[in-house]
Amino acid sequence: MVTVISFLLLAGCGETSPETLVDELRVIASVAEPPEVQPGTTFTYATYFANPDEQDTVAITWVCTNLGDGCLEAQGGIEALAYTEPEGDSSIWTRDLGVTPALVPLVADGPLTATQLWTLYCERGTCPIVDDVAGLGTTDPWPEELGESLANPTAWMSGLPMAGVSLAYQLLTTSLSDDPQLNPVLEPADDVPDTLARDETFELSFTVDGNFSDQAQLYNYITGGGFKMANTYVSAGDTVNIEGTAPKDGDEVRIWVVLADGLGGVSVWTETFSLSG
Amino acid sequence: MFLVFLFCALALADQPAESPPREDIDQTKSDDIEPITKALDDSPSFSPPVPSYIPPPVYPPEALAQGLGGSVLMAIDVAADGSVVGVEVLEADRADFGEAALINARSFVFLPATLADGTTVDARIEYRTIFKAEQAAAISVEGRIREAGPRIPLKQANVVAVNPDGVRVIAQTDDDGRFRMAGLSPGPWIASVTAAGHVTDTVEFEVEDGKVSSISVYLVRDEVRTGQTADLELTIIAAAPETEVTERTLTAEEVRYLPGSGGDVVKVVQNLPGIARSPLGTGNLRIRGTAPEDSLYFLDGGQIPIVFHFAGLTTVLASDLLEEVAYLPGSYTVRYGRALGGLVDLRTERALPERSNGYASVDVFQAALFVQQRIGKRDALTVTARRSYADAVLNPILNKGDLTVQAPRYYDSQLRWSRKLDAGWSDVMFLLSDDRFRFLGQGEDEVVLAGFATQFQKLRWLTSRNFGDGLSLDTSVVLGPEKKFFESDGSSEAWEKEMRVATRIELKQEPTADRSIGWILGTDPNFNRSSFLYDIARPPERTVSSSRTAPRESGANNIWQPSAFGELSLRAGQFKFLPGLRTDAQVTNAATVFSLDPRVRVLWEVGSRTTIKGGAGRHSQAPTARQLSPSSDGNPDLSAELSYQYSLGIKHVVTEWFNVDLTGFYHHLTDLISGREDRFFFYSGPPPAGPFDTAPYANDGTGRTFGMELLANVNTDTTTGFLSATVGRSDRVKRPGAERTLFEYDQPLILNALVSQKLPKRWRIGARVRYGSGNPYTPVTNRIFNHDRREFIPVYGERDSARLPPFFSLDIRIDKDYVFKKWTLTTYLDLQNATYSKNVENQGYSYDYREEEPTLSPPPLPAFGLRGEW
Repeated sequence: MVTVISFLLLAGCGETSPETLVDELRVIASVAEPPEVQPGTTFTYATYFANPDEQDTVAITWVCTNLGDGCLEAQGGIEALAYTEPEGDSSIWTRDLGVTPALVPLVADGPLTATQLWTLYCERGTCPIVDDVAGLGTTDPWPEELGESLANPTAWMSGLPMAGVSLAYQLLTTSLSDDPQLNPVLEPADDVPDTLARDETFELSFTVDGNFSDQAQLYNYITGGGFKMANTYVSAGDTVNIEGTAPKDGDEVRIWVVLADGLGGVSVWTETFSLSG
Repeated sequence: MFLVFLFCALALADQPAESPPREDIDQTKSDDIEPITKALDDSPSFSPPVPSYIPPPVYPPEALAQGLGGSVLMAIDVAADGSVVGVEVLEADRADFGEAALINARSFVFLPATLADGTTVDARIEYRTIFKAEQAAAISVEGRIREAGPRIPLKQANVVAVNPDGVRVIAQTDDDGRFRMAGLSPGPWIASVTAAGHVTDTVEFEVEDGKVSSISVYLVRDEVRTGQTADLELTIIAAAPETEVTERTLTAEEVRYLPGSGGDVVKVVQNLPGIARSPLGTGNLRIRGTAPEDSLYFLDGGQIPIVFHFAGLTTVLASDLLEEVAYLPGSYTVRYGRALGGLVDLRTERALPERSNGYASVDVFQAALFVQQRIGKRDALTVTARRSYADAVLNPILNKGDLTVQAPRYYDSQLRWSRKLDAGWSDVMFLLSDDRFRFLGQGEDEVVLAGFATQFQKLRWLTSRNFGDGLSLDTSVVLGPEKKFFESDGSSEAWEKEMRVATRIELKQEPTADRSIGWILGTDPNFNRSSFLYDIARPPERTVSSSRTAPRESGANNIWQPSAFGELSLRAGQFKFLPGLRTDAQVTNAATVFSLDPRVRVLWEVGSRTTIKGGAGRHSQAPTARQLSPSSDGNPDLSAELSYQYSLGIKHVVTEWFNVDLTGFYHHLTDLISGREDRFFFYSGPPPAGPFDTAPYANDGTGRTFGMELLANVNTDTTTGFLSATVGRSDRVKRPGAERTLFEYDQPLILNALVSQKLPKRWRIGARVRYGSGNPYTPVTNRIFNHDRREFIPVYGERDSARLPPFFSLDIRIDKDYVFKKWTLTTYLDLQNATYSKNVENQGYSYDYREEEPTLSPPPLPAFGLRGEW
């Protein structure tokens, strides 16, 4: 309760929300297309990276359905593991991943949300497990020790540094539905400017649509300055305005806007702006 | 050889006396008059003292009512100036006649004895006062002398009334502070009133024929206390693993002024050795490295759920109801059980108030009222009430942005009827307590983001009977409901409800000078109807490794806890042995658990000032109903947790105002219940942090606590203080083969130094210095981002592998008393954390766990208070 008090007292202080500032190596968002998948099929997985200091980085993705005995995907035969070397201060990594057919009998009676999609993004040399994955094919069976590690990431994360390491995950829904959940639609409502004025406020407008729960929210991130609100509740069909402040320094700033529909669906809009003034 | 004259006088208005024959008598003196030792020449030319002014005595009311008469023969020493300087009753037909005559004689005035040459000399005479009811002198004035402020009657106060003619009459107050004078001449009089330890005062009054004047005088107590203690004494039974506990006797007055206690006697216990400080005043007691849940609180031997309100600001019971506060950290008597840790037993007073009294107080946090009314000779009624208003003060400060915060608020009340029996005591008390606070979302819905409440209502009946020769029987029952309640996010709810009946029956034979063996036989059975609901909404995304939601748990149990105990007290020379045996059972729907606890204590009085004390024994604590119940994923095969406790100490009285007590202790813990740490429970401090042991419950854990405790106590007329120091360690091994880790309540060093000093003009200043090791905590070593909830989840390092910085605080208190005739006003200023030490109360982090953002102690908050007492 005390921690909540201190946190709540801090909330609302300052002009921008600190949660909107991206100033470290980080996995910003990931999008599974579609967000609801039939077992035994593949889907496209896009991951959005931020690397403000342009460090030399590596990244891996893996799929894990752990029902108590480790990842079912460790047996191989599906695209459940991938490795890449992202470049630049921001990038998008798109690859195809698969869902193990072993889930078919489990989803016969309805959807199952038990498959985890993990992404580990590291400064090169800080994450030994990345090196273990680098040499494997996407459909190869996982070595036993690697499989145990990938099934329990919290066990080895404690031994990695915070700086230069970003681990993120989301849950994927699997079902036999012919009419699966789709990702929501996120589009700019107005023309997006090319340039933002340094240290000045700006506003961006978006339209959102799709199948939303009452927990659907719009999140916004920026590599300098900040947004006034970290997130905004939205409903289908809304036009949402988000207000931010451009940074004082630098030549460019990157913005990500993430729409989560509360049902597992995600859309991401991202753009780089030049700074003037 | 003394010249002695016998006089006779009737109990009438002034009459001249006849010259008596001479007789020799032994010389003695009255209480406050110096004797005459001068021998006088037995010369025929000697003239004896002649009565000049003989006022009538005050006729004893009882004798007057019965029409009884009699006489009193006195020896009176008359000085050379004719004043009476000594009186002795030689014979009296009734004791009350003797008292009345003795007081009356002090008012006599004589023409002094003279020699032939006219020189006045001292002389001793015999004088007989005769009481005749039909001729009793009318009472001219009556009055009462009391102490200003507490209005305590002052006995043996002297009242000297003088009129313009120089006539002087003396009276003395009785045990009730009352006096009377008879046969005073009409007109104005001035009375001078004196009493030991008090400032003399004078009062004018008028005597009228046929009327009785009434005066009431309140004497202010002298600043240097020399006489009777005004306040009742309150005994804090503190520390000592041995059962002949080390007693610390402090007056209620001294406890009231100790800094940091706010006048709350139980809070003083928090400064004693063996008790670790709870963060941000969560108000629980952490005794000798054990969890708060492992210690118990009692009211006259019957269990109560809490002893402090939120934030530890005050006890749930008015301190003025208490006679003793027993703090037993370990190795205690078999009279108490069912706990691995220590205990606090609040023992209410078993004596009628001498007079009706009360107080009203207000300070920054609360207002309180206490009224105690004497009813007849055997009964008394006490009513108390207290209510915090910190919410009214803090809510506007805390409310920010989208939040509506309802700051903690509490109230409590007690109603007690007491009766003094011919050979014992009986009383009934109803008490209630309510604590709550909430965070609300803004807007019309006002969703409760977080809320917590704890409440109880109890009816306590207590009776004590003495059968003579040290044999007594004590019986108590404490019954009533208790409830803890938690809600969060508008979708989570948890509560625990208890309907508890706690009883205690003890038959006791005290050892005496002729009997070296004493014993106690007793039982303290409990019954508890316990029900619970834990419905915590935890979406799958919250747990990384599993999609399982937290299960909804609900259920109810009847819990029977029968018990029996017996203890002997054997004295052999300088040694005292106290072996005892206790047996407990716990019967629930799921399982029955038995335990047997043998214990022994030994005291060795090495000389008159030094005592060596030791103890060894077993203490057991049964699993909770939830831990046993299969319906709650419990384990019905669990057995009781055990603590084998050993202690050795020495107490030395250095001087009458300074004593030292040093104790070493070692507790070995076995069969501790491990597992299921991921389940919701009402935690008693900062929220628990992972990694959690989620395996099923089992008696797999072991542990130990050990250390040394020192208490040095100073208590003079003007200075009260003590130094308490504890060094110790507490660690656990949760499962076989696991590493030994620090226990989350381990505090290696705890220091408390308190002093309160009386100053002139009723000022008092006090200070308290506290230093303590920081608590262990589980650090966050990394984080994982949850895409679905768009938030960071902490990854924890080894459990309790880090330690918060040490705690330091300087508290200052200043008091000033104003004494009026019928009441006393105390004003005080209490400043905690005067040096604004930024102590870390709890570790916190930024939203992404990159930065530590600890919760710090609040800034110095001066608390100003007023207390009016009558």
